[in-house]
Amino acid sequence: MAVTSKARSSRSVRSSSIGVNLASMIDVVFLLLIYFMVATDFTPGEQVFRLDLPQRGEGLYEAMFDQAEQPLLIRLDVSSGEPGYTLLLEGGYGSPEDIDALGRFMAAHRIGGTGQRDQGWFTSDHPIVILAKPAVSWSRVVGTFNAVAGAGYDVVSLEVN
Amino acid sequence: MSSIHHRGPARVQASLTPMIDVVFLLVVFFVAVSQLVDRERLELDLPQPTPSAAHQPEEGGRAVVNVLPGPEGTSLGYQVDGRMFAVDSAGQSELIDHLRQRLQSTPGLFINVRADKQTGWGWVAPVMSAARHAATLAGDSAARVRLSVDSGGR
Repeated sequence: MAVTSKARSSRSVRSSSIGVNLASMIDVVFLLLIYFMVATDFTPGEQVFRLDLPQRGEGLYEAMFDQAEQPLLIRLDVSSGEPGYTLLLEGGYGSPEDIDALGRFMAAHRIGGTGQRDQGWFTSDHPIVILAKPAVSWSRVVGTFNAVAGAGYDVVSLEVN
Repeated sequence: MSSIHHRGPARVQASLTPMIDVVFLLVVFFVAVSQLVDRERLELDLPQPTPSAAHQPEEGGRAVVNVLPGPEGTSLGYQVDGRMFAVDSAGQSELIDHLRQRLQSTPGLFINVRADKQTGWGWVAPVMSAARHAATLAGDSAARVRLSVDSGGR
């Protein structure tokens, strides 16, 4: 009888020592939480412009856009004078003095844009192609793209050849 | 009659095993994260248009092409997935082949182009051209390209 009681007591001691220690898990979870919070603050934020580069057909722009409209071509070149580059809208639409002026022009002449009703020439899905000279800096190319996209145009592309 | 059992002072001991487990887990985690970040995104001075019409990138597979800046707006090469590609025609062919493999293994892959803002367009355009050629070889109708810009901390 005494032996049985001792064995039972030993079993109860052993079973009471089994348990899940939550403290270490909470430590780890807090460490990870702090890490992610810090990493989120210090990771430089990047955003993107999306463009599709379709396969080229035989015609210059036939395959680029599945639309009947001729794309509006924006030529971008370097210049020695201010602001260091030139913009030319083909088709007799003029030469905006800088990228900001291009953005205002494009917004004013978008149908439903910021201009007067009779000034709307282009729909928001009108294809627009930027043709930049090789020496033009990447920031100017992206700035031009940004100005056109910011004016409300959805189909903007870059001539890569 | 009550009896008081003197068990002595409570034993306080630090268990090293779970601490080692956790430390190793954290080491592995940091190593993995740092390698991923280093391989994908080089330190570049990206364009920062203001006000920006760019948007947050959509979810999905991506291949990040870094255009390494050189002196006076040139480029020293292209880096994708930790691999370097020269700016000559041989490097261009290798880049096309690498992107083709990525496109074939990951349907709907986006190709993110990252370039320093001072780099000339003539050094970035070959990346776009390679992306388009790779998409053609992979049987896609178009290359899905994204231009990465600095959001200014947003």
